[in-house]
Amino acid sequence: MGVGNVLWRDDGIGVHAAQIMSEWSVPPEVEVYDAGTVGLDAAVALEDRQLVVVADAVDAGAEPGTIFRFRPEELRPYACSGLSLHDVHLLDALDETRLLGTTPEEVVILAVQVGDVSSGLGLSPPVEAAMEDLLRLAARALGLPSEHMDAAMLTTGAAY
Amino acid sequence: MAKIIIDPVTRIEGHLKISAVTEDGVVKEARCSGMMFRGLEVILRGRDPRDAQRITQRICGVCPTAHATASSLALDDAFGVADRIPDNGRVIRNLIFGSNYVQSHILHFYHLAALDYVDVAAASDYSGSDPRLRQVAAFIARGSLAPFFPRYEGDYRLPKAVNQAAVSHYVEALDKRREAQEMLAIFGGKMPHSMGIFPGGALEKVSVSKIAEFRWRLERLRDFIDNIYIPDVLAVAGAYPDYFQIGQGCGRYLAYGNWDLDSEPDLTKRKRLQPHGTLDGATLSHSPLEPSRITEDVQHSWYKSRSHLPPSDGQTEVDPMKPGAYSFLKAPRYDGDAYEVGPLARVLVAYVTGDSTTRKLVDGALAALRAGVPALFSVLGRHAARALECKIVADAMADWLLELRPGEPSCAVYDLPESGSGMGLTEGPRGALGHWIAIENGVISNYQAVVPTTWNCSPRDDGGQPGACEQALEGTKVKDAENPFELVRIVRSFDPCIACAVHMVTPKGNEIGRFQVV
Repeated sequence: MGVGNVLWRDDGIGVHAAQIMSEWSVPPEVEVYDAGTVGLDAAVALEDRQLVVVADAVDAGAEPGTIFRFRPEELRPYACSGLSLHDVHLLDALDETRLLGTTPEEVVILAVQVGDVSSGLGLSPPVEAAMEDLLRLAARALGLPSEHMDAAMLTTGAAY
Repeated sequence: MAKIIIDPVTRIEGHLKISAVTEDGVVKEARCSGMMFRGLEVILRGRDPRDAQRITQRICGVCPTAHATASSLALDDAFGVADRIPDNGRVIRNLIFGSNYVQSHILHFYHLAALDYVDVAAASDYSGSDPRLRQVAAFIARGSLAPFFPRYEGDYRLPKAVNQAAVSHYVEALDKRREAQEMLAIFGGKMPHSMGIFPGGALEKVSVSKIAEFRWRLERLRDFIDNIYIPDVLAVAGAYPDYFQIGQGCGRYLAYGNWDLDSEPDLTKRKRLQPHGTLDGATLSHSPLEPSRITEDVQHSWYKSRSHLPPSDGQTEVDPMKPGAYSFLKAPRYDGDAYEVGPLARVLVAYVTGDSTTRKLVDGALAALRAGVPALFSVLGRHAARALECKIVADAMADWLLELRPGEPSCAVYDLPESGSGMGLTEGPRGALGHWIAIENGVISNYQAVVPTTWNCSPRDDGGQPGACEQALEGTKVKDAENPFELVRIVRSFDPCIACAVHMVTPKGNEIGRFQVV
């Protein structure tokens, strides 16, 4: 699930990653979802999944392009602090699935440290350079066979 | 004198700050500040005009469909194809957009606004047989109170049984929103950021099976709107009658009109289910819309461009250090005055222009609440209008569905012009939405969007006149400055969506703890 706003450059890395992955041939049990700035309705994509791998952007004060991995519960204490650059209420959406009894079994967030989040399209060079690692990590987390990755990995050129 | 600052206002989309100065417990001055910058127009310049439909949808995940519609209308106009939209294309647009309305209105009442009136704690000791309430009770027992908190305390009035029913409906509404999203995707392809609405019509073909799939979901949603949503709004209104007196605002209402019924190229002459115009609440007098009267002021906004510009000539040059400014929202004005937009404005304009469906529903609701038309100019009036409008649109969708013709085209064929200009006027779930485009040398030379929340939550204009929401807050009695529930109820009744009104400026350098670096 790629989340973020492609109109703020690096904030859109998760969406760009999802758009590249949507060109891959993945097994039928894997769905690639461009959640964009979907907000609360991300719940629709989360419900009853075995595993959700979220590709996201983050500002943790690290070197641009650094990739972090964390779980939703690790985000909780920082949820109101402007952690995420966009308006995806991922935690709120997870809470909704808890109310409905449709919580996904496992959620992993892969987030890339942003460099440039000014208005504009396209990624800054250090974040663009992190794309290949992000895709590889997402593919591994999803248990995709490696042949999917290598051939498709270098399909670059985001949709915008 | 006391100062109340609510920052951010929760359970809305995006970052809105409210500051209010009170004297003897009454708000003397209120200011709405949109705390993020919108740079959309800058991004679009120099691009293929067709990109506007895709890019403007990315402003926000809550109302991408509204932007797709406004943008496609502006491009229809600029491409000279507005009079050639096939009926299938026109109807599919209405069905996609209508699905988004239904979803958005249910979301707003149950998941954003109702928690101001419904006490979720009423479900904490539930031991009956409603599976939804049992889930909520178990949820609260585990100690995880989001998404119900934070909230202001002190004024929950519904009887326990009504409260519990409303909490059960809160959970049911989550399912209904998903069904509305699925319904949208039948002709929209995907949600969010649907591809279905496009300049010239719509991109999806009509088939009998799609009509049947749509119909099945629509009937379930209509059942929910008629038997759950509207009765719940009336129940809340019955328990909080003082909110018919609170939060009136500027008393002037503006609607651009929505739901195309023909393909007349001039949008102000196009036949639409919900008509356009302005309404003066004091005299109930209606005037048709004249788009040339729309201008934007920036004296109190963080922009260095000029004031009084029409949106077609609008400029977007940021000046975050500007003295006297307090918002990234501009101040749109009609004939120099502040106007309220949204479901209440649309329903009022339809009501005074004599739309029989609207009159019947509004008169029925007012009779049930033993209230008159002036009661609509209020916090509860906004919620009631939103719920009734949800029914009007859902019922109309059932009729539109029957107009679809399988096998016939959905989109007109056209060539792209080297130059031109276009205006797209429609109504997002939250109110009047306009896009203006200019094309030179085959690419976008200027693009401006004036969105609903910019009207409702605008700062003061050059003449010092506060925006609609600011006016609604001023004069309000606040019982407890520590728990200003009156003020958040007023703000949320406008259903503000700041994510779309503005975009952010700079990321805050937050220390967010140590995550595993991979």
